[in-house]
Amino acid sequence: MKTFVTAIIVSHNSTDFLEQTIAATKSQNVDQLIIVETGDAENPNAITAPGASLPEAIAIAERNAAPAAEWLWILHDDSAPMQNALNALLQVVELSPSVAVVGPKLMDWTDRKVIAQQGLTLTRRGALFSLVSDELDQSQHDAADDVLAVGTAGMLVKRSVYLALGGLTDGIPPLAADIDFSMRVRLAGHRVVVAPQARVAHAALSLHGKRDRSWLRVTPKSALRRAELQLRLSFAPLPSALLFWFFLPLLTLGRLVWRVWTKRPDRLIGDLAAGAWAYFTIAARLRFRRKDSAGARRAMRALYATKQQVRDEKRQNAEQEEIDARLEAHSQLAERDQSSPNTEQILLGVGNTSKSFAAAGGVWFAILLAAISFAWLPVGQAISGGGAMPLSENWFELFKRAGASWQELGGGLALPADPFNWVLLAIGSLTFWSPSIALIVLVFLAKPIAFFGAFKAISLFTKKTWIRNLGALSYALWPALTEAQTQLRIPALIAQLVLPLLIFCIAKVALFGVELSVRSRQQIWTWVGLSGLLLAVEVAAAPNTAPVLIVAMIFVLIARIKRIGYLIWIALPTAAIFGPLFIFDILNFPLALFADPGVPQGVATNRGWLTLLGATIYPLNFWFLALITAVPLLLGLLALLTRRRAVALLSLGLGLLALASARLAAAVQFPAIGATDSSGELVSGTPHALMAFWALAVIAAAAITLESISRRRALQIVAASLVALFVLPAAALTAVSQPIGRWSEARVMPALIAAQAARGAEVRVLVIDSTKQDLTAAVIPANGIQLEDNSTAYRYAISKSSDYSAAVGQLAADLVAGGSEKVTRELSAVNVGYVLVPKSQAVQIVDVSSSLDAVAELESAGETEFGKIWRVRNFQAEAIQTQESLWSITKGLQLAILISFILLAIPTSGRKRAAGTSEIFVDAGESND
Amino acid sequence: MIKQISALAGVVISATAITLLPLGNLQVGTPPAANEFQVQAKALSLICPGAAMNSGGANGTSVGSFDRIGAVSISKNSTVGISTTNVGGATLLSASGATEQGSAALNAGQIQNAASARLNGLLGASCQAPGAQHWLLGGDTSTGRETLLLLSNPSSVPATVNLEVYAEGGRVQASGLSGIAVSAGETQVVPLSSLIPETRSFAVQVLSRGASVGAWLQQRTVRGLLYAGADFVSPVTEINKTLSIPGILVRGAKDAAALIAINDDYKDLIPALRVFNPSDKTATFTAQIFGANEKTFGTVVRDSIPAHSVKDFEITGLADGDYAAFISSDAAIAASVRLPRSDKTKKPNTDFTWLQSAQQLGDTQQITVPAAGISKLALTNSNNQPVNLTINGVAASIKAQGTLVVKVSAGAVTLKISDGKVGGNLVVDVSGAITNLALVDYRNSGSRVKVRVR
Repeated sequence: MKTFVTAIIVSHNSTDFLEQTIAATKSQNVDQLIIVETGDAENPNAITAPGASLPEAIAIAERNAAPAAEWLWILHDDSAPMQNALNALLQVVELSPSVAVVGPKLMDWTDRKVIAQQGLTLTRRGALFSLVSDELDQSQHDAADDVLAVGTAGMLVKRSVYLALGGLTDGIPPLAADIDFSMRVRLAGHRVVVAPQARVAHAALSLHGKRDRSWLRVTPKSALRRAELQLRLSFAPLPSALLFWFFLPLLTLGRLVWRVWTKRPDRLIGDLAAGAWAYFTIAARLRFRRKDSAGARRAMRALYATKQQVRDEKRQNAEQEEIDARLEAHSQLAERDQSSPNTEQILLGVGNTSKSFAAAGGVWFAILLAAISFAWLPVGQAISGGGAMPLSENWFELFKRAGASWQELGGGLALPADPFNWVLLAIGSLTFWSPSIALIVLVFLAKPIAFFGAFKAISLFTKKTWIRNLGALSYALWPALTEAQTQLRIPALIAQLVLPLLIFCIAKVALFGVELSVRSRQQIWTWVGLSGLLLAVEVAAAPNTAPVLIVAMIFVLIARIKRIGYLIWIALPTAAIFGPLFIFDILNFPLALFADPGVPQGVATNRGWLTLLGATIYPLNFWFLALITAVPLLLGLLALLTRRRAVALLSLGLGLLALASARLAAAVQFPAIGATDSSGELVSGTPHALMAFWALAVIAAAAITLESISRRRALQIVAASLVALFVLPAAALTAVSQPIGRWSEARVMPALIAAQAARGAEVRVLVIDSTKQDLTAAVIPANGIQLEDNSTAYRYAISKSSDYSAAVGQLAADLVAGGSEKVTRELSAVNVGYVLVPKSQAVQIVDVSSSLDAVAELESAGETEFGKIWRVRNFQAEAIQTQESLWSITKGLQLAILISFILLAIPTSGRKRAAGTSEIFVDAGESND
Repeated sequence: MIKQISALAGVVISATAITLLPLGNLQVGTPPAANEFQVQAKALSLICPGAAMNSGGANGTSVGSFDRIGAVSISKNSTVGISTTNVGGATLLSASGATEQGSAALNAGQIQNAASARLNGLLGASCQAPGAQHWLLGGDTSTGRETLLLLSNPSSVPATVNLEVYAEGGRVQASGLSGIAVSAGETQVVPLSSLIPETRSFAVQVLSRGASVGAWLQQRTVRGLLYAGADFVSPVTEINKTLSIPGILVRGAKDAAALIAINDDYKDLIPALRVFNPSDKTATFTAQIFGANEKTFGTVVRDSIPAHSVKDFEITGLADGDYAAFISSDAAIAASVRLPRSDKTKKPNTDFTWLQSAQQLGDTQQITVPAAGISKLALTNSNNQPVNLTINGVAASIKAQGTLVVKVSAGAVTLKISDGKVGGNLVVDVSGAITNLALVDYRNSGSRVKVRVR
């Protein structure tokens, strides 16, 4: 007797696919065909149920099925049965009466020799898992039968069982409905099997995001996660389910970290949204809990994916991932010249022929550069002078200042901290027990680091190792870097070290450079992470580089518009750490955004020729400077006559923009007085990072010139000239240079006051300095002013007088005048327990000291290395200090973004990194173990 | 090739344009301003050097022995009560409670007519405000001349003093010039004659750390066996491109010439201008010595002084009369005049005083004239406009680039300068011996202090 089968096609606005599916279904000898249209497409042969979900649509169709119908064959509009699919399905159910649900082998819609899916299951951790995916059908999986679940596309289900179980559950996530139904079928004692002989072509429109949003209601990625969470809550024992829900926020957080670690930032929003959805709709989730015994669960677990299956999937996905990434890279480089690697080379990863940094002898050059930097060899815990100050001795203080929205200076002000504090935190964290040590080591190793960065950057322009080494040496020895190192311009120095690495990393993301090294998407995300962090460091250390970098990024975007999906993320960390200061400056002084962080340290002159030659003061004299930089400048210009003049022109064009910006930067005057006292009221911008940009552009162009010289003799002469006239004199200049600071302990206050601060006493210090014209007074914390206390916003904020500044001014005036009867009250009103007059050669200081000696309320506490101090007799703290929290919402957000980029930037190794199940359910890189 | 050349030219032109771009300064934001705060001024204190210091003990042979000779007479005036404190022989005068500062609040000077076996002459000095830095321009350590540096520390904390001595050849390097400890409440004597012997002309910079000190040079002259002249040298109050030195009251010029003719050791009886150039470049100056009236004809000294050096210039050809020096220079300099006094009928027959360039003063000033001898107040007007003033209520006028010398009686003399500024020295003559008290307006941080809060 023939089995009566009613085919149900659920359609959702996909008329093109539907027509093919109807045609294919009619050829299957079905007894009845019911079409349900859930979208707004017009279909005269269909039952229209706009807005109905898949379970509702199937229920409607079932109600319209002929009473004789024994089996329901559920099809989607994008699942067209292939020849004899129904017969093959029916053959299975005829042979095995216990089978209540049977699924077909789903084939790829476009390539029908490739298996897209053949049965579904779960991993031990509850992730959805397709047992077979993206495999060429060679009948290798035709022996399969029992599975945990089958998808609804092509599912043949016994009508009686369907009715007994109440059909597919409406209200649970769409992608969980089929697995939920299949598992309920199994719990009811029936079998769920696949029929490999039955083949159905499936386009998987929902999972590929090709349906409108109303079908899944959320993005496919979020829908997948929702399905996993629902199944976990439905089938786990109640205590486990509740525990799972309780820890869901933590689990979600961990999952987000893991997503970033595995370089899948595209999955963050989906996972976060699904986690929140499950957590806040727990009551609704628990309504769909299924009653299952421990024995039934054990039985079903036998059908879960094995570890081996998961591992195999991971490996397969990783391989596919690499191939996809390389092909993607190649497709975007199709316009490149003949010398670029071909597809085969890219796939085999043999595009690289140059030596690595170590193989090129870079390490030896780095050691040599460290050796000639002996004047910076750290012999103390910190260095003070020029632009250098110690960092806080306490790492937590350093952490508190990063991203802070409250300045402790004076009476306390709600002001955003400089983004540069994040850079200082990062550096200080390397030696968290004494953060200043990392800073002085960085200053010492500036030249080797610059050499490494420049080696990488110049490798974008040439494959020749010796040119890379020579170019990198030129950058490391460029006068601007030596000057910044000598004058201890910490932010400018960091910006110069980071610049070449930033250019290298962005070039990697954008696929620029003479060599390609594309291993996987994960690797590109690593470059994205590194680029994002380096850009943030660069702009935080030298905000005046931002306009040039923006122009450069626009060029990159225009040239590689298809990479915008990666490139756009690079700006995120910079935007995050600059956000609060950006808003503050825009509302007050927009140009203040370009004020240099750290200790205000301008340049004495703004001479064009000096800037062009890479210095703001003569290292020896003009002719020495001109002589040593003449050769690289000349070689850079000659690149415009070579075959690769377009690259040279772009490089030099950006360099000229940087040069012009450097001159403009030095012409801008910012207020100098702030956390630290300054020799002048105004300070110019610092052009060193921009001069380094210009230098790098020139050196890159010079590298092109050198590479284009084919005559060996000429090349020898030019290279020898470069070494003799630039490298050696510049190295000698470094060797004889001395930093303008002095090595010291990390403490910035006299031991007596520092001890008070360490005890946590609510005591502040009044610092009085004197110039010929007037006095400068400041109330500072007892632990003193460290490098991270400098704030550009504070320098602007104090230009407006306040009640607090009036009180401090009056106090200082009264003390310097020899005291008055109000002094005791004034001291306690601002919690001043000590008065410090810094060491100075100024004669006026002695007059101030003499006056303070005469103040009855003060007693001299001696002369220290920081100046003379007086203790306030009978000190009483009256003012309530606002306690600054370590955290704020903005800081949390900034930190989250920075940590995410740090995780992105850390390369994940080999096969482990790329994981995933079937492409049907999860994009490459998804892990299911 | 045209493209290449164009690109090359474009880059070179752009780089040159950027390099040559004239850029001004664009100020973004304003630094915090220094605001004035009303304060109660610290009590004005002046310190007087005390009695003349004798070196070498009773017979002059005891090295490192210094003791005071005789007693001084302090003439002082204040609007409030004055308290006195002994600072190792020096005297600290404090006028507490004065609402206004300056010479009207407290002024004082001391004179001492020393007549002993080891020191003769009229010594005088205006009492000075202790400070961290003083320039002393005067003194002589050549044969027969002795110069001591007196340092008094009136504070309650010790001070460390470093000296920088400049002579004709530039800065003098000598041991014992630095790290001089001056205990709190004590006076320390530094024998410059031992440290920089045989130096005819020099300037001393006193730099104190730890506390403010008072500083004077004490010079005595011995001609053969005759101690003939002594005086204190008070600190310079003006280092400027234009200076005036009032009070060059030449008397006994003929006697001086006669004495010089007999003995070369009397050559310092010719008035001399001492100029110190503290700047880093050679200073060229012109010193015009103007007479106070039509009957006295002055002279002109024009010369140059190398950087960081001191030089003496004899002012020859001055007949007896009242003169003042007006000095202009192309760099800031300090100047003083050694004014000798000769009377061969007396014994000792010579004395001298060091007149310092005068502080330029306006408004109301006061000086207290000592009771002894004849005192003449010499005033100068360095401006190009006449200055009108009253002296104890009597109206007077000083022509532009002119000087006025008036005899004043003992007690307070009040000057009310209605327009412009004047400089003044009070020249005191006691029986042919001479000294001077400078008119100086000392002020502590006044009733208003400018403070910038950061």
